[in-house]
Amino acid sequence: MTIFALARRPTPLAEVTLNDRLLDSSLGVIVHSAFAQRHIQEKRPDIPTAVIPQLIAPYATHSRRAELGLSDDVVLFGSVGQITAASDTPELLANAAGSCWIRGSPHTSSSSARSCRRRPWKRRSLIWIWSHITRTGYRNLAGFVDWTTTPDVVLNLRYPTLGETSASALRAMATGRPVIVSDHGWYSELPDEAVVKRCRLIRMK
Amino acid sequence: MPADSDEVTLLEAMLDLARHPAKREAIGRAAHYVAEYCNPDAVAELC
Repeated sequence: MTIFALARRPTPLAEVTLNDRLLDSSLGVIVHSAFAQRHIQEKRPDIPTAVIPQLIAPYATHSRRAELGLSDDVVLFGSVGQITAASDTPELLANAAGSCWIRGSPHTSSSSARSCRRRPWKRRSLIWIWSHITRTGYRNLAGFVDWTTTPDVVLNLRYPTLGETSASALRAMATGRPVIVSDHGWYSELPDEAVVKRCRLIRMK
Repeated sequence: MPADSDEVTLLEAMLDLARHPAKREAIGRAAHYVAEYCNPDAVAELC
């Protein structure tokens, strides 16, 4: 049985949030989140820090929805950007029958397959939703922003975080799309009324 | 159980937004407003 819990799992990379050598050679550090600033201050309280927004240039966009051939009443969910194990959402979406999901590249984890074997209903749901996924593949920036504009709702889940911000989430927000995010790291600092925050999801094997 | 509750919260969030277009619009509007703080042109004007 796969369990998602609010707990820590061994993620050594996440423990090395900042490079010591970089801090040693810096007179000050400018970051994009209080999360990253806090990590610096805990490690090197003598180094001055400042937080500034990550800059995202606005682009003219147009929805690609017509290319999907969907009826107007279908609510489209999308995940955009570099899809990695840290944004491991297919299994979670197995329950979300009735929705479509776009993402940049195919990815499913072996643990997802194991979970499906143990929970046949989830396997059926996963098969259903995978059959309704449209994968755009990698696109140039203009195409990427267009596809970011296309979903009715954007999913931007991530764990772990090393203190990075998400340009994909910001681009989706800039186009006026509601975004569901993981409630940790930089995402937690987004105003509550501007995103939908969900608990961070960690698979305990 | 945390597993189910977490999955449900994500599913609930998706269904909630799917069923309520006004909520999608309100959150999207707020998101756009927040993203304006990340617009280089707007920041340049402040400088």
